[in-house]
Amino acid sequence: KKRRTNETVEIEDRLESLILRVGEKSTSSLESNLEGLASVLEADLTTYKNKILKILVDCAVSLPDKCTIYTTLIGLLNTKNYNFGGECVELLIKSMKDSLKTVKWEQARFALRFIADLVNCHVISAGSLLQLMDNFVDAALEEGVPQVRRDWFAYAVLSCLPWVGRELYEKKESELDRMLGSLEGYIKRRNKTHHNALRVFRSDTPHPQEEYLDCLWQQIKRLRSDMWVEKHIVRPYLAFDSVLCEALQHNLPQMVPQPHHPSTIYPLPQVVFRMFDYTDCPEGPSSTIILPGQHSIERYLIEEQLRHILKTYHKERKECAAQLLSYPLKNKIPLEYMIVEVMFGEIFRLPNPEFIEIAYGSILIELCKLQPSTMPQVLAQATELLFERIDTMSVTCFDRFISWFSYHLSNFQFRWSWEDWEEHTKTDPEMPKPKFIKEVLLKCLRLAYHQRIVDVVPESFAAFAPEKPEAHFKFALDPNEPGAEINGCNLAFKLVNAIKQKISQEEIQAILSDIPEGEQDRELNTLKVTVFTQTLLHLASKSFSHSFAAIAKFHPTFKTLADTEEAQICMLRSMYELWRKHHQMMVVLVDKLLKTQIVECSAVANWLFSKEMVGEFTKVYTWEILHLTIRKMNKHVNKLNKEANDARKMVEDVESESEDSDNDQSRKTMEKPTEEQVEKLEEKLEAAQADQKNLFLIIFQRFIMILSEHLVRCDTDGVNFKNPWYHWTIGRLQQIFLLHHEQVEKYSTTLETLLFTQDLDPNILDVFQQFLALRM
Amino acid sequence: SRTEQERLLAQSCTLYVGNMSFYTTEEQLYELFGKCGDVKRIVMGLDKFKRTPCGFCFIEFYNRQDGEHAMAYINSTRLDDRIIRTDWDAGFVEGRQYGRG
Repeated sequence: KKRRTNETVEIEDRLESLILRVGEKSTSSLESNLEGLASVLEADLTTYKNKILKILVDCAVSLPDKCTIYTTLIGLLNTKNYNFGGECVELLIKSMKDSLKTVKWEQARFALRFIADLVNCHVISAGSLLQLMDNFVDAALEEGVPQVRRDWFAYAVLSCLPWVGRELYEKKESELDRMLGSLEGYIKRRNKTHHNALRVFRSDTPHPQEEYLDCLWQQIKRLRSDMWVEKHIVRPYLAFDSVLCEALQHNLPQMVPQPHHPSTIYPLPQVVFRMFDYTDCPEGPSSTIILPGQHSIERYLIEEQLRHILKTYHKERKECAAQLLSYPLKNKIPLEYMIVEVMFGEIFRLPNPEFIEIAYGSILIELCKLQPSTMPQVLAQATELLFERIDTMSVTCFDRFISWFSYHLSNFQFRWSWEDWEEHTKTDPEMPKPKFIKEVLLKCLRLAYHQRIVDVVPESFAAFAPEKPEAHFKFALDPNEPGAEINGCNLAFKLVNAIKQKISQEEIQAILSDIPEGEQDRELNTLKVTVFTQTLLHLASKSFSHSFAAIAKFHPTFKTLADTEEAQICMLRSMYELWRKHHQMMVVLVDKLLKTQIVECSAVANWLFSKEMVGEFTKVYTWEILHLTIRKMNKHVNKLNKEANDARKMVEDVESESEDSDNDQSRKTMEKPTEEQVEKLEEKLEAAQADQKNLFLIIFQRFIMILSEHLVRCDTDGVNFKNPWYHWTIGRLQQIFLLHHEQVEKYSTTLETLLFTQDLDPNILDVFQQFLALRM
Repeated sequence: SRTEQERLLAQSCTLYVGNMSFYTTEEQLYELFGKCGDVKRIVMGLDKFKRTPCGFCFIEFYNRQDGEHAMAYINSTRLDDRIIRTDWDAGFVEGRQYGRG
């Protein structure tokens, strides 16, 4: 291999920077910049062809917002050097194939769109693009493969049409019509069971929450009836039409998408989140500022670009906010509204947002800081609208809304027009609106302190103000105090003294075993666990650190006491009795008890569904605990899975490499696991998977039991089963499926045969079927 | 040495958080930083003489990436109405929690 000289490197770097920067703000026009760059590149084509090709193709897939700029550039180069144009096309097709193979779906889609736009620049013939698209449409029509795969191919083709629809219409109208006919057939036949599971709002009023392919299809249909004319995409090649139309066009090589493989993971379907229409936006200084309608292609194009900005800059929140607010067409649209709608669409995305929730929250804060004259008002208006429509909001989005809003308020001194929500103090506290207010204040409390929140809300909000998060120790240590008659006070008193005197764990355990006369074994154990847990956590109640230290220090005693699931549940119950006013404390304590393996995941699940927790069942923290428990289990399984796989692979690699002996030294020095070790790891993994499956079985069985009971009871009493409790409970069931779908998926068959059987009430079964449809 | 320090910083999971209110509690920090990932440990900075919180702390995550999230999304935002600052820290060592505030 020849060494690249310094000079070559310098020139290549310069070319790269020139290509990357074209289209950025400049004193001269985009057209003259493109023309200049094309001449520079043409001169260097002989020497630096490969480098230039690579840069251009990289730009094509990674800078989709500059698609038309680069297609124009390639168009100009193609007029000067036909072979170079051909090599570009070949490399683009190869890049798209690679993206498909490595399941980089968005990159593949951008590559296809780029290729389509090259038709506009006379680099590729319209006929051969249609051929390629037809192959994609065939993939969409293929029977016997998952719908998510077929969806992707349909979506990829449809999303190119805003760029190339007009050209295809002019040159190949009948072929285009035929292709659209096939696509329409597919779109109409698709199964849409998943739609309800992915909606932010159950209701379509005031704004329809459309399935993403349905929506794009409507937008394309509208574009088609507008004769494929759209005014949004900047098309620099139009200025060069006279030059470009002289060029010879290339035909695309034949490309058939690779067949489906069961291990391939396709993108999940989505629902288009809508919260605004033009009536929500104030009239601008001129009537040209208007929010495009839901089926206007502009709405799709702008949203896609805003999402792209978000994706590109999400790690630098200040830059992200600046880029969003300087969106090129900001003078033609109510930009703040579109940004806010896109942001909430991302926060509420089901099953999961692309980035962590605080990313969106912190970008919204920056947007408010950067545009203080408009952004905070639009955000407040959005909050009001979301609150107004909260009755039909999915439970998962309800949680995210609480979490975002409380976080946002904590950055703005908790200022809000709380009085406006006063009327909800009088309604059933289980209804979504009062519940939202109450839970928001509870979350605010976690980011502030009790008095601050009490001072922030009006006096009429007494019913909403969170309780002071203090511990409630149920044993009286002084015989004259109330509560001294409770069984166990003596033991508690002894324990407190023992712990304060820092005596050994053995002695503590001896005190606990000091059996009072006449107690039954079972009750005794309950008493021991309760007294120990309450007393220890009470003594350590000063802070999280104190509590964690106590758990660490007394770990052996905890482990000895928590030897059965019953004992573990009793421990959790005792903790709850002590800390029920301090939700966050309970969350972190359960987390700690799980991490230290004092309690098992299944015990937590059974505890949350137990009779004693009925009053807490619809509170948000209960589900925070259950989800953290499931996540802990998932993490554990994933970790073991990776360990077992890695070990297995190492053993196999070693076997296959044993022939060629002089492999690099580093591998040899690595610890090679023995077959026995690998088997042990695999056994551990199997055991963990059995636990995981068991955990999901417990949770779903509990759900089925309480929901069925409720439905039967309502039926006998002749009342509507759709009360608030039902709303929350069915929503939480749906949430388990959604948030953990990747894990639950592994057990769908078991769930189908054991729990979600056909004789189940259709209301419950429906939730399961929606989940199955996600990857259908 | 300096390179050693840089190496530690580049792989650290610990953040130094400064400019906090003296009244900010561990619980508030858990809530806010917990939004970026699983928090392993929080060590509150204490006044050398009075042993009371004095406006800084160390936050240790299990993963580097969670720390990166905190650097990206929490640095220079508000907690308890104060703009807090976060910085990578080479790792907490016993004794470093005592400062002047």
